[in-house]
Amino acid sequence: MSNVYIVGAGIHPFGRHETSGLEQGVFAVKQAMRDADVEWDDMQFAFGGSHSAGSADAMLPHLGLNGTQFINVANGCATGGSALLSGYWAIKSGEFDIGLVTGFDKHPRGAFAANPRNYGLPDWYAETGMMVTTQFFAMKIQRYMAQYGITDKSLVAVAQKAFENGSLAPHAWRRQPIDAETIATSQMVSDPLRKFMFCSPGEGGVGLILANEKKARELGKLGARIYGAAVRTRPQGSFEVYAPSLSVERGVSATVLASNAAYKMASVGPEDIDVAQIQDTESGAEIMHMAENGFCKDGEQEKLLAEGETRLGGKLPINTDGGCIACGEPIGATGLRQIYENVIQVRGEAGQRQIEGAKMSYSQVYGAPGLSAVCLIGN
Amino acid sequence: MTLISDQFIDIQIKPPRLIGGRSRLNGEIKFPMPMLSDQFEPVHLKREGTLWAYTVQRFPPGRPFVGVTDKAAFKPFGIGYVELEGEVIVETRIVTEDFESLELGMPMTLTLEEMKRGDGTGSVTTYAFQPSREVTS
Repeated sequence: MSNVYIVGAGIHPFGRHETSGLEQGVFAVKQAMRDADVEWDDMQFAFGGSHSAGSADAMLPHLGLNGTQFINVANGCATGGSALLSGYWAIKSGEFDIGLVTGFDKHPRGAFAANPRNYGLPDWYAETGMMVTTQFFAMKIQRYMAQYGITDKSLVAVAQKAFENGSLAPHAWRRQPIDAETIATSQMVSDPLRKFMFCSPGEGGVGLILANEKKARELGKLGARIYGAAVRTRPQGSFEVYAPSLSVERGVSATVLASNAAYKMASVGPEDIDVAQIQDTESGAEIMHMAENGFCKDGEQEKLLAEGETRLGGKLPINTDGGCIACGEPIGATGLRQIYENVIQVRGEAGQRQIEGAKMSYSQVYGAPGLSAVCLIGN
Repeated sequence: MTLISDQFIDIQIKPPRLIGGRSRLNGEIKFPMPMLSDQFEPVHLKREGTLWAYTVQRFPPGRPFVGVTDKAAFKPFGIGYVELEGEVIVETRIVTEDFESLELGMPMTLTLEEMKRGDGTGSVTTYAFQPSREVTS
């Protein structure tokens, strides 16, 4: 079994654009192929996903109708992470030398709408106003804050850091820093979460070229190796979105399972991570995910954030490109944006937001109705 | 009174009780009762519990929410989870005069809530929980 490398990475800036989601995806894929010094005819497979912007394989006429197998991936907000894992397995199996992983999307404005029946839930659950994702995020962090002594200050600090980092990332949507006061007094959406603490549905595309060690060596692109990758779904007793009831026997989250599995594959622990991209659907999610991914104990976030340890230059910089809060969330692309950022970081090409000496990076994306994808990339 | 669904509540008994499903295999209780499995048998749930998590829905939910969504007329409402000891933790609308007074662990009591329909065709009734100290009747 070969080691798997990311030999090329491309991104279409996130945000709002005139172009279609598909065009943004094609842009990113072409950039990734240029970055890897390869052409479409070199690709032996492709895994791609989009939630609201059509089938990913509609890219084919724009890339070349050469018969390449292209598999569409759909796995909620973890679509990108799942596409990456599929590509990783394909190379790892020894069947293929090189291939493409891609994701793009374009969503209408406003919160994501969901049909209860698609989730096996009764109509009344949504009709009475309980099937709203923002409520789940708010309730999860509300309970967490009360249990572990986290204050509103931490929620503000996460959002402030996101916009600060976003201002240094050319692919981010929100490129202007926002001060703490403005965040802390912005409109309340779902207590305790305010407008500037949330990410918005958006647009963007990412392309990544994966290769085995032999191919990566030929191309001279050994700068970003995948050390571990895992997707896990919700276990019994976890607290997930769209849950009309929860078991009184509480358990861990899908993120904890995916995280443990990926660390084990990579034979490293949280203390070995130099830079991390973790799901920040809103400020609260980043805070809870810090603990669920093993970076601190429950409750320690308050001190870490107050001391700026997760900012650029801190002990563990988190969401160095501004995360979902500054980049927005195009479902098909969001998990791959994290990977793109980590590839750029471990290659030492992140410019003003570069983490000095970044060797091992970590990413985690979370999606409805309760799954998490984790990936470790190092140089 | 028009119940939005008779799937989740028994109003034939006084006072009404929520209906959960108890697993014949391991006794675990789910709410609402899972309809696609014969593993579960209906069970009346406790009317009293404690607040486990909460928030306030400050903007009108999108479709298929049936309540008032007109921005000027929309009234924020409470949403939370209430733990029914030894049974299950249920998600619920919260009826309260004062969102600020909500706190984890406070006693909550089952009630019925009349929701005004957004399309002007009257109202529907659903279950909700209310801080026990606010229950008057």
